[in-house]
Amino acid sequence: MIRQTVILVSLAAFDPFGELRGVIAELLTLVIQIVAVLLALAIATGFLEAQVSYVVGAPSMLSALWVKIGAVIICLVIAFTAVSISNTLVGILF
Amino acid sequence: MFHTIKARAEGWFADLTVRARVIGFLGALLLILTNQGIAFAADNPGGMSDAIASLAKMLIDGIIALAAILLAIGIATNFITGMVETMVGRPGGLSTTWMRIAGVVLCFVGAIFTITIANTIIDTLKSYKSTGGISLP
Repeated sequence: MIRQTVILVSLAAFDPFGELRGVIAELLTLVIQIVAVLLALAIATGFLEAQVSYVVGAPSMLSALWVKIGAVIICLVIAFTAVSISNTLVGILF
Repeated sequence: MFHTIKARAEGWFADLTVRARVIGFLGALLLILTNQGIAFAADNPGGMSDAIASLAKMLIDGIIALAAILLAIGIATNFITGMVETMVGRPGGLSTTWMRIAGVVLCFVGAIFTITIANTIIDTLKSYKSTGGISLP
């Protein structure tokens, strides 16, 4: 019993933010999933919007759709590489 | 026998400590039974990600249905426009009609293939996902 406690305490001392890291990793996974869902929704709503604009006679909205999809893809890439960006900033600043 | 049990129960409930323990036990039992009900209600255990994906799929299905309606409306209204333009002496408007219908059909195809397009983009960009741990200062 004492030995287990000592091992746990030493593990906690080895990585005191281990649980926090795990929680943040779970949160990041959820955020990435939400961003992926938003990508799909942006594509669908963008095409619907462009279709409406075609129906009402303003086809220039289709060009705005490509810009919108490009912006969403950039957001997805940033969400994917969030940890790398964070690590790089921490490495530079500290 | 019954009187003995009744007298003993009355004796227990007269004691404030025993009564508090019994009420606490019953409250805990109620909470356990309530949570069991919630657990039984969740007959499709898949976690948050499956729920988000199902919700998105439902929304996209609705958007595809709207796009189909708009396709029909777009074809009808554009042909009416082309007909009116031809009637009033500007037949070049009919070529505009074809271009507009092509645009409407293109957008409908894009809406139908939304999930395929999104999956392709996500699968392509998946390799950029960070795999290392989080650094803390």
